[in-house]
Amino acid sequence: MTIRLPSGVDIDHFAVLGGGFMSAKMLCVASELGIFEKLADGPLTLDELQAATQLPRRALRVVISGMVALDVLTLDDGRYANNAPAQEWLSGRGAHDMRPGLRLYDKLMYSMWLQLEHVIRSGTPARPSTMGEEFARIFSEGVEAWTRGGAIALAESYDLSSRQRLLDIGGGTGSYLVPLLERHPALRATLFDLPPTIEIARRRLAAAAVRDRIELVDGDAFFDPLPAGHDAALIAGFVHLFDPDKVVLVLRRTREAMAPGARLFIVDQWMDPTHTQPTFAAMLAGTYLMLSGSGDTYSVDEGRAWLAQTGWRFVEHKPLAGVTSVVVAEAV
Amino acid sequence: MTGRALFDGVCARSGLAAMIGPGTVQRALSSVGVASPELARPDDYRRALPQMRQRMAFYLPPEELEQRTLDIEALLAVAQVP
Repeated sequence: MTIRLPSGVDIDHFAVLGGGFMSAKMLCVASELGIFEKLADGPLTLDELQAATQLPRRALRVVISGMVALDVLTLDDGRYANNAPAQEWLSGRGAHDMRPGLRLYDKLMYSMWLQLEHVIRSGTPARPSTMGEEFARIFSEGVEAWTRGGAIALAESYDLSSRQRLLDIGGGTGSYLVPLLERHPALRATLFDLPPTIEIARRRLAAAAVRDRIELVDGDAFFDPLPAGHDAALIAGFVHLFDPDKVVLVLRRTREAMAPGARLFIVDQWMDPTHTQPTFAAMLAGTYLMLSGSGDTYSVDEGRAWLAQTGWRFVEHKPLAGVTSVVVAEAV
Repeated sequence: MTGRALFDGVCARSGLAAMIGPGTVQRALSSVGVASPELARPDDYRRALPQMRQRMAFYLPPEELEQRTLDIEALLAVAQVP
């Protein structure tokens, strides 16, 4: 019997899609093994890299060949090297270290994605393999790494010099707040989040030059009074964790804590009306669903409707970095 | 079982997501005057349980809320045994 293939279709199409976890896991493991760090000073042969890493030679070759195949390393005349993005983001030598982001995927998200079918069938959140303080540390450091680009872009995109006090709701460890305060020397801010996160933020912000302009307040944005006296609010990486009813609730509570004219910045992976683009944001929807049991990536149109229901006027939607963008609104 | 282990056990049995549960339980403990989870004893959790239930109800369907409450009470009963 002859197998007939549709013309123009790669027989490996679904193998590559279905086996995408192999690429992901190999990249994360290469980072954990310190391969990009060892290549930071320049190209190395397999033997030199084996000596530097003390890993079994053939297994090491499998990993670095995979990294060349994925266009993360280069191979010239038998010498392996970081390509430009790997050198900048994965070697530990660049301005932005994204290794904690890969660690978040490898150590927390990977085990949660194994539960995707159960999460979808049951509507319950996935259980991470690591809990407690270890979960909080890996999560916070990873989120900081992934959000840094959007945070810097937000600070560079908006002039907040007319604003006095910014309320950062669910602000994590302040990764969005710090670039904003560095950019606006007169701006003061309140970081509002759940108690364990505020404790981590207190430690991580201790040495920040802008620390004296940040007030840390622990609380639950759905239950506790939001701090008053702010003329701008930031909700970054928050709405994707909750179902629409909860998003509407937090927008309403934020509006009640602000005077007319206040500005609201909602930073997230905002989607097109079909929820299919950007592609990576469509995949992140799965992560958010597993994290909370009801998360999602929402469309700009949905955001616009929620704002209209809760006393905000939609001002604009603007790209920031990668798949991250911001919806800006004004209190009416 | 006391301190951090008890706190982690209560969080796990709450059925809340890993990024929501610890903060929710800690806020409930604060409301009954317990400053740190490390200091919380089973009786403190019992006093905080109404607050915890209120917040758990925000995320969980009613039947799961009842089961999760029973799970927490069962843990606290065991934790009290010296």
